[in-house]
Amino acid sequence: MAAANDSSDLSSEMEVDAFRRVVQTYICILAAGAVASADGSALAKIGSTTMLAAIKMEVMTPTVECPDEGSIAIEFHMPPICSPLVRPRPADVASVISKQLSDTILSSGMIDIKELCLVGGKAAWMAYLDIYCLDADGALFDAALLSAVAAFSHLNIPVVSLNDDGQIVLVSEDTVQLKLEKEPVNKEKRKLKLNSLPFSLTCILNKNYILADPTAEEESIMETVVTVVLDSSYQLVSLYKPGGPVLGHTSGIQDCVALARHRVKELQNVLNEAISDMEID
Amino acid sequence: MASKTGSTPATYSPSPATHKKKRIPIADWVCPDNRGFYQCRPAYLRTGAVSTAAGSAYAEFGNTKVIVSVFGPRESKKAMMYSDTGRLNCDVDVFAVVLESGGSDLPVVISCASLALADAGILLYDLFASVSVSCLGKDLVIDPISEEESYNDGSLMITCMPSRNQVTQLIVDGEWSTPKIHDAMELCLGACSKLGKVMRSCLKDVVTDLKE
Repeated sequence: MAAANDSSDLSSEMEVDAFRRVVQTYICILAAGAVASADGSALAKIGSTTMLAAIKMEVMTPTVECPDEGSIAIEFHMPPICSPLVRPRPADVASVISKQLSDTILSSGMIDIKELCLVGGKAAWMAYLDIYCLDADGALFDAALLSAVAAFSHLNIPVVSLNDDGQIVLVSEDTVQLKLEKEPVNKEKRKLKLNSLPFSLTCILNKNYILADPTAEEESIMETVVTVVLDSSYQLVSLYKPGGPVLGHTSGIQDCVALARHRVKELQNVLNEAISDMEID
Repeated sequence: MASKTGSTPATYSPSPATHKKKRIPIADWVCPDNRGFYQCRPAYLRTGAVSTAAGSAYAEFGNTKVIVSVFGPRESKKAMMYSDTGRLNCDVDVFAVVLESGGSDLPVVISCASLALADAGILLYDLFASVSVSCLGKDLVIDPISEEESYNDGSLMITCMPSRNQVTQLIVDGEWSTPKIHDAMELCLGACSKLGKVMRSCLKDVVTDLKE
């Protein structure tokens, strides 16, 4: 089985339109104001695959074993609008991607959950990240990860203070001028500090070819899928190859990783542009 | 640290909005986006939002954002029934997702669904437009935002087919007097016919874009 290894010229093995998809990322503020629908959100569109990520911050009591840590709950939903395959049977792939995303984001070290602590031992943030697939046209994990990373980049942590009952309460703009005796607990920390951001690329393997960033039609005819997740310094965060009839020869996997490196550069530029556009507003 | 399996800790939202709802003096009510009481929010409508669906539409009325996709006609389960004449049973599936709820959600979903069905090429008697009105004390407010809906004494929603002048759905709840209902219905039907024109021009634009 001749994998794509001998020739050093990748382009002869790569499908011609591997990267022809236009990547559009928008970080949009879907709700304005402090008491709003989402604290951080982003819409990511790769080709036709569209993902909407939204983060809602709630307050929880940290566990006894880790009193200085907050928590992140990640869930991926595929509502029936995204694809004709979702009804009558709910998509099995949704729970797989949900777990994959959760593992990747938490293990990538992008977020230090100690930053989510408000009052040690008493209150910490729980970030609920929900990702909705609006249009499922292949490479769902890539778009979902991109939208999650963008949502965290956009996240504005609400300013809160401790009230007399020991509960954390939101400080809204009008009360800031009036009640200054209740010091906001986290006046300085409004944005999460993100370490290396993870970006991913999904490829499908055939006997002789590697097809990067497949559409739903392409995914349906090939069974061997490889997802490579790299962080912004090109370190490998995760490699996911769930079986498939094509074996993962080292060279094939190395080619996938090389393709992923190109992709990381592209996606980083797109993300930076989207963040700077948002800050101008 | 990986997410802890088993117990999900109880969380609460720090926002005070869930606490007591202070009653604002209705007489001085000014809509946050400076609309008149009889002015609807500007409508942004686009078809073809979801590539995998037979037809789809995206609607944005102020802060209310909705996507509707239509799949079909698809084979129906009723195809199992015996019949001695040949029969083709089809189902059309319409799914909606509210991306952001800014008030008056159901009317927006209905209008958007009508565009999605038209985009899918399903045969329809007519497009249908839907508008709701809230009664705030003595005033009627058309196309209310969520804050206005939460203060209302009553609400009325009408779905109608503008060209055929037929009402397909009427939902009334809360306190209403008969003359107020008449006024509210007049308001809604006027707004529906205007919304119907906006929807038609949205569909026509798609066709003219294709021709170019």
